[in-house]
Amino acid sequence: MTSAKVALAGNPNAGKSSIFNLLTGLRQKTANFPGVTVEKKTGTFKLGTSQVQLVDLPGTYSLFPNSKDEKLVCQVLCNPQNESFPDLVIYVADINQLERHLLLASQIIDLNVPTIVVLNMIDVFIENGHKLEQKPLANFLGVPVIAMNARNGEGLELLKQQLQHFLDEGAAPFTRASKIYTFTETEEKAAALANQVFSTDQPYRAKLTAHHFQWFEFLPDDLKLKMAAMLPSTGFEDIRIQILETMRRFAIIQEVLPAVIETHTSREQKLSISLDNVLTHKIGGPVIFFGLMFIIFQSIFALAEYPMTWIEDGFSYLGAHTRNFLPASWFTDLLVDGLLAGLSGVLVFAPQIVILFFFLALLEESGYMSRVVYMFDHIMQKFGLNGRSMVSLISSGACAIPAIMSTRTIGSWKERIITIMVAPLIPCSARIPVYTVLIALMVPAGLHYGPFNAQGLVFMALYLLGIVASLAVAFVLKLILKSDERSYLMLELPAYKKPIWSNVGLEVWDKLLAFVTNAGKVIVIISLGLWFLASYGPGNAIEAAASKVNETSLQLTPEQHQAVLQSAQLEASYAGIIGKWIEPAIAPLGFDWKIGISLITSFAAREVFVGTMATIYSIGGDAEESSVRERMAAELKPGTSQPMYDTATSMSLLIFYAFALQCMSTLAVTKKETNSWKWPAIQFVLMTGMAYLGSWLTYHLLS
Amino acid sequence: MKKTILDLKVGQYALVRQFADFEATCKLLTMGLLPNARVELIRKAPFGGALYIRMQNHLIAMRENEAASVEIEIV
Repeated sequence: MTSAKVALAGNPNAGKSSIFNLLTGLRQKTANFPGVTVEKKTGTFKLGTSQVQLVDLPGTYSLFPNSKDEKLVCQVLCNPQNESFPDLVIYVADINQLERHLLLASQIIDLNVPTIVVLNMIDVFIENGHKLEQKPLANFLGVPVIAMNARNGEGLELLKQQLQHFLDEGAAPFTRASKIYTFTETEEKAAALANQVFSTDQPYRAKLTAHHFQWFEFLPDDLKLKMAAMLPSTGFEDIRIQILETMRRFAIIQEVLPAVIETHTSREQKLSISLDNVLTHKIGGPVIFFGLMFIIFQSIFALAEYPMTWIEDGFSYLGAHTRNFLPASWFTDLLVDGLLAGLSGVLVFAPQIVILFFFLALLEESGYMSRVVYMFDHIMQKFGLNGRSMVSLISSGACAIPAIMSTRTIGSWKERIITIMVAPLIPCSARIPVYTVLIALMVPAGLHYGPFNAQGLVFMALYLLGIVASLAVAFVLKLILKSDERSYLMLELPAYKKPIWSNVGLEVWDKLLAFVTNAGKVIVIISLGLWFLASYGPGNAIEAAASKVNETSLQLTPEQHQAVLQSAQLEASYAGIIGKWIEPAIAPLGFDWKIGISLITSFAAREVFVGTMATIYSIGGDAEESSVRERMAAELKPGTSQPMYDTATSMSLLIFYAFALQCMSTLAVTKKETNSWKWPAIQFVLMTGMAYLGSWLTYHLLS
Repeated sequence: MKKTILDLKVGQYALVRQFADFEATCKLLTMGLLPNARVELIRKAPFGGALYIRMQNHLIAMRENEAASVEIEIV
């Protein structure tokens, strides 16, 4: 064989991804399995002269699936026509949990798919004083068994030798001669029927087909109807027989295990329990959790500041040079103001995403995240969420995009949708520049209430508002959305362990790449569109506006002149026209057409607001926040001597930004994760509605 | 009334006997809650609702309603 498809399978937390990383290194990519949002990690590596294609199947407990991920694995392994159907399975088991992890192994072996069983985490096993007898285990399973430590790569060579052996010799040494599990009479009948209807000649695959044919997408509907009509005559009851099979498989495994391993209560487990005495303590647990979150967010903002400035400076440097280098033309404008500005807008978030995911991967790898899920599950349940939502909502404090991507671990559809819908209400980092500018307009800088800085208090109040709003919306959605699906917690609390740094690194890299490519595409397209709207107007309106400025403002310095010119041109552009056009709709909120333009442009991303304000209020090239602020503070309401940005308008605008879904990328990610336009549409209407209502109320109460 | 995991006090051991809830059983079994498995209640979640349970060689968390479907014999 010169090329082979190999799949990694195993229970969650067995260490599959470590082995995947060991085998493929950086030659890996993440996509989705066709038609479902189940992550598909693939990679390639060379072995001798052969090319091996490796797929990392999602963690699975058994071929009686309980989640979308598990259903996918089941469909891949039960359908030889599936494009991911492997020539060989590397089954990864945690040797410290051998009894449980052998359940799925025994099922895969019974499917007659060639298998190598890797017993991972052998180091911990030996450290704990346990002993392994490899021979009887290999005899029982009927396939090669390798002990491995994915942490330091021990056993990797043996695994590669076995793979080479498979490429040279073929399937025979990797398949068991007989089945581990023998059918009862009823099971025989059901399997025979499945074989007759669907021509599934492999006996265990036939039996699984009898269990799952209703939702197996690769089976034709007419045959499903035929099967459904005939199956009852065999006396086959799906769930009951699933349970019986599972229990009988465990009984077989339990019988063999004493001859294979010798165990004692592990030191590792004792240590985990003592650590959890503190980390999940009634009071200490939540306190430590919030303390950790505080530290993480502080460091995100502190550490990301510099690289973010570098990225922005780098892009404006690049833009300036491109402009110098290329002849002045619409193409240069498009390149600099459209494409480069758009790219800069995407990449500027990369540092925060990297730092956030670094910490999250660390918490995940160490085993702490499962404890968070456990501690907060009950509270989250009251809001229609799941303990796992906690992790997503925390991420949302940096950016809703990775947060929405992380909801994939939530098994229940309803809880997952609610988490996705409310995540963007948690104040993300893009709101910070907007909040900073507007709060400064409204609250004097030196004002203190007791020891507290007044600006800081408003800032905090806005954060709390976001959190309360997201929980409130979740609660309402819980009452509205209907689902018969049961939700489970049933969660493994893995023993605490030191994180494997290369895993953390690869996880961060993977998430960054997903953000830059997926969200990046959308943001670039939108910024190109906005550039067009802001640069062009009907007929020669822009030229007319420009010549008018050239005639009237002769006594200005060149910079001021340039600034006034830009402002006049923007007013005459399509964006300006749209701003004026929506003015009647936003006037009740205390906004004028200039804010209207900013609302439209910042639909791409909230922080664009500050830049747009800078352009409109003719500060020109330099978008320093302080200068935007000064100009905005000096702006008067048309025909009065009242400041435009009084408390009512500023507060109304703040509330608008707190609620409105001013973020294209969030919509794009929601579309991608829910596989429909319905949910992003609802999300957009809901949040914009809340923003409008909130702003209207605020404006009318304050003015 | 049969006793379930929900009746365990912190620090108490029990052996799993039966499952009362058909639908949850598959999930429980695959998590290793097999008949005759020895379980110990380590603690309850800070805000209630979830239990922290030690089994022979691993730790799991489950909701109270999930725990109520596992019938046990306290030892």
